[in-house]
Amino acid sequence: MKSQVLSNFAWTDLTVLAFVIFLTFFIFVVFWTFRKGSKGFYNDAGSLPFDEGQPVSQATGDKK
Amino acid sequence: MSTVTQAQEKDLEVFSYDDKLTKMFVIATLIWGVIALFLGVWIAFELASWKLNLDLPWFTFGRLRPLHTNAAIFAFVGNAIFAGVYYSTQRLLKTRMASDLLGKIHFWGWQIIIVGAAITLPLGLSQAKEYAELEWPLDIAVAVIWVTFGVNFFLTLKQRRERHIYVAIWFYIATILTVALLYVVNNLAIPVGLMKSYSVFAGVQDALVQWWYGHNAVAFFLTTPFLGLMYYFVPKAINRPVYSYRLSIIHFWSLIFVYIWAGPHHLLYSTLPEWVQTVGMAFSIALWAPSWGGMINGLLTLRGAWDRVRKEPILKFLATAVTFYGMSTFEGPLLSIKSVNSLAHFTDWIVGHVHSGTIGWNYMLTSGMLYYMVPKLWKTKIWSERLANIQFWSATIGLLLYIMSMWTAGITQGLMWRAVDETGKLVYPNFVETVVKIIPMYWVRAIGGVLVLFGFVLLVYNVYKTIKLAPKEETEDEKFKALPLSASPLDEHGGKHRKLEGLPLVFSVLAFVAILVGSVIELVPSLVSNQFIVKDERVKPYSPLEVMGRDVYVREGCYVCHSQMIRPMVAEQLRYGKVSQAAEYVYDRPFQWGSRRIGPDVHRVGGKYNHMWHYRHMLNPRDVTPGSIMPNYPWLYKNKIKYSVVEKKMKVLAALGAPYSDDEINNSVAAAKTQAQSIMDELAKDGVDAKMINKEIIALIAYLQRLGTDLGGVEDEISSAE
Repeated sequence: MKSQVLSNFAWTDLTVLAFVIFLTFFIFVVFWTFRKGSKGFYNDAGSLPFDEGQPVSQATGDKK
Repeated sequence: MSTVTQAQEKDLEVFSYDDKLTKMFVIATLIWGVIALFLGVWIAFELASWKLNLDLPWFTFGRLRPLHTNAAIFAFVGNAIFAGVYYSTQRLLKTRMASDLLGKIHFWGWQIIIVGAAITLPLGLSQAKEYAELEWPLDIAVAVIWVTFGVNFFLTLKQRRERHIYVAIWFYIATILTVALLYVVNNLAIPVGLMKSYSVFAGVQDALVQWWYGHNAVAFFLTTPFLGLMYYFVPKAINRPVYSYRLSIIHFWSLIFVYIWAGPHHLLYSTLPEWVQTVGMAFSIALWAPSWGGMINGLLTLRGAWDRVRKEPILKFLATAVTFYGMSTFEGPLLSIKSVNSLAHFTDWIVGHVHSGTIGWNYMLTSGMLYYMVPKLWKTKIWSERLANIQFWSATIGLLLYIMSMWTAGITQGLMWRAVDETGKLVYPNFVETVVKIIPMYWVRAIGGVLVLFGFVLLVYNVYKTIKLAPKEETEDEKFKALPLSASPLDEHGGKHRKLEGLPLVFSVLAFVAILVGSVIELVPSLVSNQFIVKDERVKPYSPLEVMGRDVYVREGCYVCHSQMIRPMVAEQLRYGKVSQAAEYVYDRPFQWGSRRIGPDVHRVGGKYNHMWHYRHMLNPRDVTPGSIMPNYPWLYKNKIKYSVVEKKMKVLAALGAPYSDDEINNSVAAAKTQAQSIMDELAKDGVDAKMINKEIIALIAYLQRLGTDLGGVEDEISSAE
């Protein structure tokens, strides 16, 4: 059974399959990131590196 | 991103960061950085002047080059990654690492592994697969320590105080998962002793798995963690958010999805199945897009602040790093195009390309990151910005010398190899002509390396002085306050995106699937099906003595300078003989195709010269090839063949599929001795002392004389040409 399946399978199909999977995936990611109403969320996300928690003793804080 | 109201004030949790761990990794980065770069400089000079191999086994290029690559990747860059990851992860998640103990185990475990590598590789205890040279006990240690790191990391994710997981963390997650998968699969081997093993894969399949690993070691060890660091440290250093967070998401997903496929571009024109080569090439070219998306995102983060880049060393390093990330990810796809690859492969162009990535991207980013982190960690200021600037220029000029000399050497040699005159003969039939030609470039490269190393020594000194400057009284970790995770429930902002990007487990599974798709489609068909490797009954397994000789070849790291893959090109056939076929490698554990021809291909060397030629050649290559830059191997004439392990090796190879009969295995020592005797008889005619019969050189000659003779030996070549 396995050998029959393999012998009827053109391996170049895998190349095409790979391309189709990637293209679908890529288009999905692009639509996902640019979906409506996400702008504020991503702006917040982008500023995450600047929030390290409130320093307990203000004097030694990391704030520039 | 949470704003604290009065009501929430009482819920604030107090915590601190484990910066001690980061500091330890910073120090380790500095120490191993000097060693890794020094090794690079040393072996660069070995190529310029062969005498620096010192006639000592532990100092030969074949053994030190693996040590240099492993030290640069796992010791220098590895420790830098861990320092940066521990620093940024804790701050991005607003929590201390889950376990101080696991952190310590990670640190000390990793350093012990590096020391282990520094001892075993010069001793020749090597699997002879690039960047995977470490033998099985160290491999297990690497796996265990990596899992320790991963467990600590995921436990930390669980106890975070920030709902959203910043994109840098995504890159770290992808790194942890993928490196674990790559490392374990590629190092699957059956031990034959404490420090020797045979790969479970052979020949073409071993090559495919190895370069799936090898390329993705570059991708998921030298690139994705550094992209995470870029997304954290560039915004921090310039004090503004990344140019486009959306672009960083597209960058992440498309990069990890595409990267995993690119491995076969290391095997173009080899006997790897054609469709795998095509897929590898196509995805390598596709990599241009996400890589440049990331580079542009990094550079545009600096937009409008270029005046600061001109003045501040940290920004100089970071901007240069991102630029070189762009340059080397431009060059990589270019080199993956088959027609370009046919010229560039096996030449120094590839070596230059790799170093534009490792020095341009990893070294520069590490330097910038250290100059940013060290003053923060030790609560002081950089001791000397001037010194940092000198380092920057020294390293940059060194790097440019390196890249340009390697371009020149690579293209020159590549063109010389393929030059055929109008009568159909090679213009440079002697390989050594093409070597002598590029030696001036080896000097330039070595000097470039010295400048890079010099710069790094300045960094170490600068950091040392900075730390000495630091206030001493600090006894307790600095405390911070933040709301617990429960204060920002998942559905607060409604959207599904928040869910995905706030659920580390689901996210990790998806990222793992993304890298699994390429791995499975590309690897599995070739591993389960023998359709691509047409069996040929003329190909026989190695004799016991040849097995022993092959292990000498593996131990000395011959693959570092000699390929065993004659590509289907006119010039290669003229120079080396009949084109290599997949069937010829089925008993090769590990495969030894090599990736650089510092010396000629040896796949059809069997029968090309007599035994005496090899005997003299290994003793002093210049004796038979004037101008050769190969080291002398005097110890092969002193070390005895270890007949005690022959039978065990045969048994393991038989268990892995070599068709040795029980008789052959039981009589392997006697068979080996008989073959040694026949080689000795011939050598004795040329005046070699009969006492040499039990020395390693005899086994090595047996192996070399066997190479490529099953299909297309010299006679075969002549008859097929008629």
